Amino acid sequence: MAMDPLAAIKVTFFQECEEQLSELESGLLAMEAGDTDSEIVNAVFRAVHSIKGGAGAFSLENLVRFSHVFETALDLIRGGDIPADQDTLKLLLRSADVLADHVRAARDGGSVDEGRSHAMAEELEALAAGNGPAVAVDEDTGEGFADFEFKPVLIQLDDVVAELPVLPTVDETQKVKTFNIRFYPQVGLYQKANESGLLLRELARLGDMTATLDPSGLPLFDLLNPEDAYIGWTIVLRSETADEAAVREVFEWVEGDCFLEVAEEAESTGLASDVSPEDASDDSSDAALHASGSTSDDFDVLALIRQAQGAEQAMAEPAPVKPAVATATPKVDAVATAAAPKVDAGKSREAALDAKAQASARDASPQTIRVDLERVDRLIDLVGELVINQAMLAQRVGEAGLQRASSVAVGLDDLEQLTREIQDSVMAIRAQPVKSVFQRMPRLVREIAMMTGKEVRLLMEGEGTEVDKTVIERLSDPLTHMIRNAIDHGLETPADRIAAGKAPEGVVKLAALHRSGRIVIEITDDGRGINRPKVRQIAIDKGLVAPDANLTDDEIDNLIFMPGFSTATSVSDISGRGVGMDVVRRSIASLGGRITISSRPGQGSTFTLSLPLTLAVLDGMVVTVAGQTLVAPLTAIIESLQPKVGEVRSLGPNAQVIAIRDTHVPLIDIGRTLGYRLTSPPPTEGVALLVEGEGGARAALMVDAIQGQRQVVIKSLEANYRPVPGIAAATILGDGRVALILDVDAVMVPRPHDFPVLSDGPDDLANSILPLAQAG
Amino acid sequence: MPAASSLQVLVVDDQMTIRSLVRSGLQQIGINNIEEAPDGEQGLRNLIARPAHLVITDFNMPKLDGLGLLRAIRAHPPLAKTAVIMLTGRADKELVQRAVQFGVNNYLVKPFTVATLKDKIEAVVGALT
Repeated sequence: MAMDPLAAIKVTFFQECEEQLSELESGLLAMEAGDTDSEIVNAVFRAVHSIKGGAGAFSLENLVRFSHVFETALDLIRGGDIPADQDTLKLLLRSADVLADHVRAARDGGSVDEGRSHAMAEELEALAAGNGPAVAVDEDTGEGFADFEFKPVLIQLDDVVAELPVLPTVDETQKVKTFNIRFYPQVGLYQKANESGLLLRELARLGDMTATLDPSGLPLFDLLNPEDAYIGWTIVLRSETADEAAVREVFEWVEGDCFLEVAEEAESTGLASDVSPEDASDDSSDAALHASGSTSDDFDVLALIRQAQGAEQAMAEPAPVKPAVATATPKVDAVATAAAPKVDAGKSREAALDAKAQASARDASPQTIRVDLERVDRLIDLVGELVINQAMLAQRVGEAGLQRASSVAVGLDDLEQLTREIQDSVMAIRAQPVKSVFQRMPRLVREIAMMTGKEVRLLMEGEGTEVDKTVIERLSDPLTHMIRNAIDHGLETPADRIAAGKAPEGVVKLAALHRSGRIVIEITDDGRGINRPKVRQIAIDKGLVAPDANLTDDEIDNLIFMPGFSTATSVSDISGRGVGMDVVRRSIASLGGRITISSRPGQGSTFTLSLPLTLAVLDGMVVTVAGQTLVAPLTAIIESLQPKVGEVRSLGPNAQVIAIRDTHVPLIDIGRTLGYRLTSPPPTEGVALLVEGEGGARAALMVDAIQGQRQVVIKSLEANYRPVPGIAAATILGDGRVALILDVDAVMVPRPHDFPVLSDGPDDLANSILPLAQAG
Repeated sequence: MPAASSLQVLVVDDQMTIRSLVRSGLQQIGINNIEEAPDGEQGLRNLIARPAHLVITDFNMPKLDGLGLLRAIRAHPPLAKTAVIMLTGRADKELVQRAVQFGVNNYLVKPFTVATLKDKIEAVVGALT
């Protein structure tokens, strides 16, 4: 290890800081949205507390100082001394931004905006002042607190068992009471704002609980009202502390809205002895385990945790309540089945519940490892090779004339299935929730709102939607830009909004979802919508469209994606830097994505991005051109068609257009463009692929024949060979041949001498060609 | 006088940074049998599976905090004698006072030096060799 250990730990620290900052922000946002769960408040506190703790270890004084002030305020909120109202939360969110700046300054050696940081710290101090006791910081010498006598407790190491002992079961048999509870909510329970899950969770606090769900009250599906309660529960509760009154108290609020029966079992004695021989044989492993008293499994932990949690502190959040609440443990299960002698049907169900409970216990603490990205990429490369090899093998087997049912062919099918699963799994390693990009947006929105004087609420949906890491990384800039645009151009000022009869606060919504193998991201604002007359006029003024062009609303909206188009009369520093939506469109296109817009005057606009889930594989159409095999990306292809005589018109010796419905698009022979042949065969003998390039421009690409659609693994030409004009990448086909993947945008760029057009925009192209074509 | 190399230590903290710092400090003292857990619950699971001589634990952690872990250790006879050192912040005097009631063996204020870490451990298990 070249790195000294402390430096390595520091790297870890900054990574953890990012996680904690993100937790801090999402926690504060949840609080802002009205969630006052103490676990959230505590997590928020803990995030800042942890940053401070780590910063102290590395003597990052500025970071320690700011996080200390921040922590003090949060501690008072946690203790209820300061109400977490909207103003306070806005302050805390801005403080979180400043804290993030401090962390990054400490990491990258930069500096923070001192004025802003000071002002923020003062605001936080003012918030804390006069609210509860100021937290006295004990000056600690490193040895101990001043004025505090503490005598370390020496232990005898021999007393501490060093090797794995056989732990005797905690003696709880005498005191434990067992309650058999039947809880059947009446249909209207939920309408009175009660919830079975919460009650069961409350009940689970009293002791070890096994709940068995009784779905027999469920009506047929078409009679089911999702707002009604149909499910009943049989519960076995074992508790050292609770009496019947305590159990009934849990159900106090639903008295009259449910059927409740609480029966205490006479005496609960030895555990294993309660299990009938029949059960013991079924549950032999569990029973044997308990009979022998050897308990290295989970149940003691759960029991101990509950014990430890008892009384004063409500620390841990209870286990998530599944439809069937089961803090099921092997031991309790055995008792439960003994108590309720409906063994057969219950057995497997309880086993399932048990498994589920264990699974959910595991879910509660997701195990993660940090892996060098290069290793994952290497794995992805190898899996790509595997896919290719498998395809080649399949083809050889087919060529060898083996029967479909032969063992080799069957084995190969299995291999194909496995290969696909491996590919999916490996891709899933790289997949990350879009959250990592989305979580940067709240801060952006706050800052732009402040700069523009607009009031904005950001709603986010589908942050858990997963997509390949590379896609995520390259999504950040376009999204940032579009959010800026939505606020700067889309939303009106509060005064304008009120005048338009809207709420002063504008809403920007960012949503992600999966749709047919792609990820779709929508950015919606409820602002004024696209100002079409203005957009049209600007496009005319800039010579982007003919003054007399007859454009649909949709076409006008799409003009904003044209290069050089900008509606801002002055380049504001917000939407800024002079780049427009064409840059956004290009960066989305470079990811194999598309962007569309829909807008309604006065009601707002929605930008929709559709992107592939990964950049490692591509859905392609395999075609033949002049004896060569090429792959065209499916995302670029709108349709394929067979040109008919009369549809194709010549515009001079080197240029042709084809009539597709009511427009004309350039007809480009791929074979000639790539230099495979000097003269093109008659278009009517080939197939035309109607494609759309990144600028929205369309063209028809002539190929000789279509072989089929296929998912191909992308191999970089730059990395393996050298860049080739008109070619984006390469792939290896099932028969082992290398096929080139077309760079659609490169081959369709119209050369000035070929096409008499004003620009390569989407619609003016057709408009400018149309008169010529009609004349010809 | 216990040999540092024979000592088994469990470090419980939700921050990997702090766990790594403690681990690094322990290694400098000559203690190499170190396990880590990210919260009290996992720490307790580890202890039940593999008991340790000494637990060094943070206070504020998700799921089960340091006090909860301490109480659980003291409540479970086979673990009850395990030595527990609490990691605390400078302002956490009250927490330490409460931990004393639950039988904490010692405490260690963050940030700490390796020398302090060694002193605090030796005050609990005796001078290390």
